[in-house]
Amino acid sequence: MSALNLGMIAAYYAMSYATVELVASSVTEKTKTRGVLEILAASTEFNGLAIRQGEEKTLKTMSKALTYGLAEGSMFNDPNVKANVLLQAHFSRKGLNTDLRSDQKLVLKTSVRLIQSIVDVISSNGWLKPALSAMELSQMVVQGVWNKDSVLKQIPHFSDEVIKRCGAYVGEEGEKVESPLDILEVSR
Amino acid sequence: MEDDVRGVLLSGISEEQMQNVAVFCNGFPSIDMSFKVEDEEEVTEGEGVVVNVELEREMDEGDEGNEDEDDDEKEEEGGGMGVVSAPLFPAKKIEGWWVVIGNASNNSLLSIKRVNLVKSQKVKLQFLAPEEAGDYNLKLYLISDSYMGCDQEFDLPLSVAAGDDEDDDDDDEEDE
Repeated sequence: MSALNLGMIAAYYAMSYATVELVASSVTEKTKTRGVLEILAASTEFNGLAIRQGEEKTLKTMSKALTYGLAEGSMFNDPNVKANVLLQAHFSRKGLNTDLRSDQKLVLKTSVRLIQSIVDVISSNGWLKPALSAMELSQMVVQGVWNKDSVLKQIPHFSDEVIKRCGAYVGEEGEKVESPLDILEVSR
Repeated sequence: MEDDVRGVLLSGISEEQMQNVAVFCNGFPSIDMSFKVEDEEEVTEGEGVVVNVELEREMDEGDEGNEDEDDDEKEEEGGGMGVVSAPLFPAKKIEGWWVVIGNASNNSLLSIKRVNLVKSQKVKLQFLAPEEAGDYNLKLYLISDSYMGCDQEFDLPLSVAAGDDEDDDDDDEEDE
């Protein structure tokens, strides 16, 4: 991709050229959701995330339960590693202390815009699957879910138990409860 | 569906919480998508193809229970259409969509447009037909940037005819 194109994407989304360039050089035609997450977390936009005293330890502990393990040699004083951990904590809906919560908010707000630019870079390369993966990541960021979670998990107050009951339900005419639109039918 | 079914499935969710459930589910997008390839019979290798897509949000006119919500949705009234219901997202999010034409068999993305769909919208997607004549099974996708589970995927068959004056225009690749 040309530098001019990258520059235009950076300007359009008001983000750093370094990030767009990083995206362009990291994405491949085989990049999946996990890869897009890593590229997102590595954005220069997150370089300024503070690592407060004692946080390295907290992040290290959190990292042990991550769905997508961190790259070998990841350091917990690295703001981009922190961004990765906070994003995954969001998808898993983990509780956080106040400081980390506010950092996470910042990461989430920025991520939506960054993902749009990632989609642009990928589509300029003409790759379908990585583009679809990046779009999926956007949905995960907005709703705080993993791509393999039930769609019903997005609905407020839907505990795992409620979701399980809905998943097992088959109505008299074979109707199922799989989407928020089906819930409307049930709760009418 | 019966009240007792609802009671069983959604037990544990209070009446008050049900209001939030209703707001989310009412706002969950249901989009009617239709499309037409322009001059479908005359698509020729390497030449421009135009696909006109029409998107229309299906809306439930007689929605009840929406009247006395006292949360943020309220002040938006009709203008709240398009604001995403996302309790865990820390900012107001406006719905965005990507309309994509691709060929899954060779992982190629042919055309993409980003739209903010409010009620209805027409989208024109353009791309160059494949360089080789033949029948292609392309796909048309509608992908949300905010909700899981409302994406759509359609088959978009494309018959590409051989051109008359065949002359490969060389595309200089400027990789690296």
